[in-house]
Amino acid sequence: MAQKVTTAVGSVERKQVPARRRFSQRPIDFLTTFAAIVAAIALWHFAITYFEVESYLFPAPLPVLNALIEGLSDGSLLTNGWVTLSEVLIGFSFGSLLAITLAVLITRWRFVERTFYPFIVAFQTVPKIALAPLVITWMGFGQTSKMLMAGLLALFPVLVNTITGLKSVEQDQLDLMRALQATDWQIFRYVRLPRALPYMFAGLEIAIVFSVIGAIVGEFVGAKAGLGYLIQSSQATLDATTTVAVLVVLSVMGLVLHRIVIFAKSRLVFWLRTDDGAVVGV
Amino acid sequence: MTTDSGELRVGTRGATNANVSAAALQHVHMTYQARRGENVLALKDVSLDILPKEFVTIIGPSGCGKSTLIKIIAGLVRPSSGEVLLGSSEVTGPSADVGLVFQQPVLLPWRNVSKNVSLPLEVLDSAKNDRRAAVEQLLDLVGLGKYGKHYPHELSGGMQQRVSIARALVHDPDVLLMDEPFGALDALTRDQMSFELMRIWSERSKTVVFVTHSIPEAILLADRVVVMSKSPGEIAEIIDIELPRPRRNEMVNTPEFGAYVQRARTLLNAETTAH
Repeated sequence: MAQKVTTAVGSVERKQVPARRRFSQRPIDFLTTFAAIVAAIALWHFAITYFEVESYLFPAPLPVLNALIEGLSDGSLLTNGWVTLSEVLIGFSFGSLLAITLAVLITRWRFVERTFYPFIVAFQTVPKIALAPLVITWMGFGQTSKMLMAGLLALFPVLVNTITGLKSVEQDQLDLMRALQATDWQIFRYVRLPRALPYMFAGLEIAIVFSVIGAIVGEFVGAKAGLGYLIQSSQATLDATTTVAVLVVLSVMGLVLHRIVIFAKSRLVFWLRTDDGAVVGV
Repeated sequence: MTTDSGELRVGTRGATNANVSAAALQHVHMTYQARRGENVLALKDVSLDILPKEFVTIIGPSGCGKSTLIKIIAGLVRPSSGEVLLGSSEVTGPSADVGLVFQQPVLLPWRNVSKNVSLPLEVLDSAKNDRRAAVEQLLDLVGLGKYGKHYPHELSGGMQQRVSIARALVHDPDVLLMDEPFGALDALTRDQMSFELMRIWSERSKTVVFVTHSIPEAILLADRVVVMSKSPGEIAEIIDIELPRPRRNEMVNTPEFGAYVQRARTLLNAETTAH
C-alpha cells in the first residue's frame, strides 16, 4: 500500500509507519534463505553418498531431479498434479463457503447455534482423515470422494474462526451502531462481517493446507489418479525416487496455494498489516 | 464568537429554562445486577436540566456512573426509574438526535476517513449527494480536509478523535454526548483538542454533554460543571462557570479559574474520603 507523506495539520503529528525499511532488508533475507536451501541439498547429497543409503530407502537429490524432469516431460506429474489440485480447489471452495454460511447462521440465530453447536463441538474432536474409508465407500474411487475429504478438512478451521470473528464485535462499535438505530443487517454489513475477516482468513490459511491433506489421504485410501495415488503406486515398486519427486511437487503446490491465500488476505484485510506482513488478530 | 455571545449564553439561561430544555433527567435511578446477584445502585435520583446550546461537563470519581448517564441520555440504556427527555419527547430508545463520541475513537479501520464520517448518513439512509457535501464540510471543520482518503491507522490518536467528532456531528444531531473523549490523548493534544472542540461548538451551536476526569478540563469547557459523587452516583453540586467566552489558555492562570478548581477539588475530595 502506498504511504503518502503528507504534512500534518497544525502541530498534530502523523503516525510514523516504517514502510520503506522492510523492502531494503528483503534482498539479504532472500540470499540467506537461498544459501540455506543450497546447503541443505548439498548436505542431503553427501549424507546419502557417505552413508551409502539404498535408493529404495531414500534417494539422492540428483535422481529426484531426474525423476521430476521425467515426470514433468512425460506429463504424469502434471496430469496427476492437476487431478489433486482440482480436488483441493473445489473441496476447499465448497468447504469454506459452507463454513462461512454456517458461521453466519449460527451467530445470527440462537436456535441455530443451539441446534448445531453441540454437533460441531463433538465432530471437531473426531480426526476427520479417519473418515476417508467411509467417504470412499460412499462416493467411490473418483474425484468426488477426495473433494469431500478436502472440503471436510477445510470446514472446521474456517467455521470456528469465523464464528469467533463474528462474535468479536466491541461494545463501543455496537453502541455506535445502535445509537444510530442501525438494523441487524446494517450492523452485520458495516461492522460484524468486516471485523470477522481477519479471523476468517486465519481459518482459510489453515484450511488450504488441510484441504491438500484431505485430498491426498482420500487418494491413499482408494483412487485411480492423483499425486497421492502416484505416491502409493511408486511405493508398491519401492520406487522412493518417484515418491520424493511427488513430495516436491506437493510441497510446491501447498506453498503456492498458501501464498495465494496470504496474498488475498493482505489485500482484503489491509488495515491490520504489521511490518513483517503478518496479520494481528485484534 | 466574542465575549458578548458568551455572556449572552449565560444570560439566556435564566430566561428560557421554564419550558424547553435540550435534554432533561428527572429523578433517574439506575440499579444493575452484579455478578453475585446483589443489586448495585449506580445512579441515585439524578435530576438535571440541560439547556439548548449549553456546554455541560460532568466530573466525578471513576465508577460514579458518568458513562451510564451518557448511555441513558443516548437511549442505549434504560434507567430503572425516572424520566429522560430529549427536547420535548421522552427517550425510549436510541435516536438520531444525539451524536456520540467515545473515549476511544471507535473508527472502523476498514473504512477511510471520509467513509467513517459518512457512516451515520449511510445507516440513516440519506441521499448520496448530500452525504458527500456534509462529509467534506465536517472534515474541513475538524481540520482534516485533506485526509479523507486516509485510513484510521495512518492517523495519530488526536486526528482519529477529530474524525470521530466529525462523525458524531455529520447527521446534524441537536445534542453531542461525549464520554471522556480526550482521556486517551496526551496532555498537549488534549489541551489543543479542548479549544478545537469549543470552536466547533460555537460554530455549530450544539448542546454538549461532556464527561471527564480532569477538573481543569471540565471548568475550561463548561457553562456548568456537574460534580458527581461515588456509590451511589448522585449529583453533589452543579457549579456555574461565569468565565467569559471565548475561553483562552491564559484563563487557566487567573484567580477565578483557580477558585473554581479549588471548589471542584474540595467537593470531589469530600466525596471520595466520605467512604
